Amino acid sequence: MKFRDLIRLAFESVFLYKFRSFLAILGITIGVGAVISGVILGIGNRELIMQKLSEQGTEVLWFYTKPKSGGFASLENLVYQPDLTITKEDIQYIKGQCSAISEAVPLVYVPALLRYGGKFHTIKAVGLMLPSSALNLFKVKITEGRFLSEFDVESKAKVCVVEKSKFSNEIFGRKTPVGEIIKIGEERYKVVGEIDDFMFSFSYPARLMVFLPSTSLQETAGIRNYNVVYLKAKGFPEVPKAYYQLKQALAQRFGYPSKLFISEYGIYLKTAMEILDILTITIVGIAIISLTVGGVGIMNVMMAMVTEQTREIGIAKAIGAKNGAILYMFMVESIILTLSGGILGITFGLSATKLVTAFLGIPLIVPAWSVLLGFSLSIVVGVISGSYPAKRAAELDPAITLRQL
Amino acid sequence: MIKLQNLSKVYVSGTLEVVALRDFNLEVDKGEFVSIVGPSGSGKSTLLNILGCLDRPSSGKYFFEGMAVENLSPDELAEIRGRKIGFVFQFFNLFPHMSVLRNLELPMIFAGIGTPKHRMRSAMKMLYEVGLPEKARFSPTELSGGQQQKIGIARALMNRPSLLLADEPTGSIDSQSAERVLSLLRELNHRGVTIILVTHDEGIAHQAKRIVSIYDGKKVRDEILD
Repeated sequence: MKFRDLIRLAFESVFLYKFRSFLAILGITIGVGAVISGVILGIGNRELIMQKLSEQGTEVLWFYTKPKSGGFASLENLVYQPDLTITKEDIQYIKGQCSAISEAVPLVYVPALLRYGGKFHTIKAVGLMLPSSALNLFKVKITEGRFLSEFDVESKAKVCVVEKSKFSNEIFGRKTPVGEIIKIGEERYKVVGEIDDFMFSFSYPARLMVFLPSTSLQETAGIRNYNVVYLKAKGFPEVPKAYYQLKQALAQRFGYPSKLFISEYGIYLKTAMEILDILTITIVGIAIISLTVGGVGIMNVMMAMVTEQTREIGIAKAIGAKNGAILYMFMVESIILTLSGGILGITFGLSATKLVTAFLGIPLIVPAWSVLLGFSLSIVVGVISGSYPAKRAAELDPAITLRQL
Repeated sequence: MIKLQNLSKVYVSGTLEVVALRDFNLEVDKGEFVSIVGPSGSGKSTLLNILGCLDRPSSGKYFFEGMAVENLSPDELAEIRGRKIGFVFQFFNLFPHMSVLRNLELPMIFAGIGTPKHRMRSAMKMLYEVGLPEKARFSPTELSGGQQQKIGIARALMNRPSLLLADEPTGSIDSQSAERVLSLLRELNHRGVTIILVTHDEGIAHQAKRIVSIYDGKKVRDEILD
């Protein structure tokens, strides 16, 4: 028998039992649709979380010198540690040791007293050595005036930038702080800019954050070097690697962990992503179970076909159909059913995910392999479900089937 | 053309053995028209199944055109059934969901012969030969018993077989139609097709040129008619 004739006969049979074929196809449609939606939604969710985390500055790691009193770094106990400071040379060393780190921004971070309008306020004073790197690393949004510059740092300019918050409102009232002169410690600073909500609060409790050139702050506070370093990994997936490299570099340089604290959340991120993957695998696993149920449905339909068409099979054999032809006819029929189900399932799965992602604001990412997966799964189910019934049909004894007339 | 030597067929079901044919010998030459007659259960259907390469003998030898059938593979048997043997059944066994034309195409499809166009032409030609060209697009269920049997015969002839096996071909049609079917068979025989007809009806058996009677799995008579 020729392949073309085989296909045509199989299609004739599918169309002959329209309703039964429809039900069989429906089972596969739901199964394949569920698999493909599960995969796409899983990927979309992962991407969404990645995006959100990356907006939150998730590629950022940091370490600081531990406060003398130990424990958690609160503003009050985070006093400057003269026995360990981080120098520019340390920063160079760390950058040289950590291939997964692209940027390192050292800070001087100290509590300070601000005087304005005859009142004193405790503030968080942040001295920046590399203002442009900090601007980029912390994704700083300038709402008014300008940010600090490298020139400010070099010239030890007495200028500062304040974070817009309830504190800035309390201190400066409704009018903009830009252009005001404030007193930090014993020095007078000019406010040159205002920035939006800063990404990190550095320590508790919340206070007004004021950014100054590191050189100016060092002079005002009478200190040298740095006590906090922010670092940026070369992308989100590199965070765990960057963490381990940093930990090792610091251990070699300073004998960590005695005097330093390193943020460990990069490790938790990895765990979070793994949990997300497990979730996706679970969803797809459940979807595959529903596909299996569809496959059992197909097998059931094919078995019924074989039983019902026993006589026809006998006649076909009597007029010259070979066992192989019968086998392939049932196999092709089964694959036609599952493949149509697969195509419908892919179509519905894609439409459904498009709707759901649009509704929930999840990014729609359709990898080519997910569509290929849908196709191949439906063919595999067709082959598996069809093979046993087809074998039964092919092995029917024509003499016996014809005697049953 | 056909030679059966000491052929036996035993069906085993559980501990029960049923001997359907015992030490059966038969030779049929090309161009013969043989009736095999016997009461039901006499073994004639078993004989027909073996002659038609649908079943194998338990012992003995069956030569079809010189080939020892018991040595052939299932595919080779199917090949012989498809190309050398035509089956005519008592209940026609046409496929009701296919048109008459498509039913006639099937033996060619299974044998892998011809393009769809060529098959269609052959089927039409065969319909003219059995006198039913106007029924090409009909479903077999729309035809009378006699017409269906003519289509059954036409289907059996599609691959120009050398042997036509008819199992009670007039068993389920009225006597007028039966007469027409039998005259079609005689005409085919006249044109050189070897025919073996199985029946329990002595009257119909006498339409052939030779009668073989079978009783309890044994040949009891082999007679050439005038």
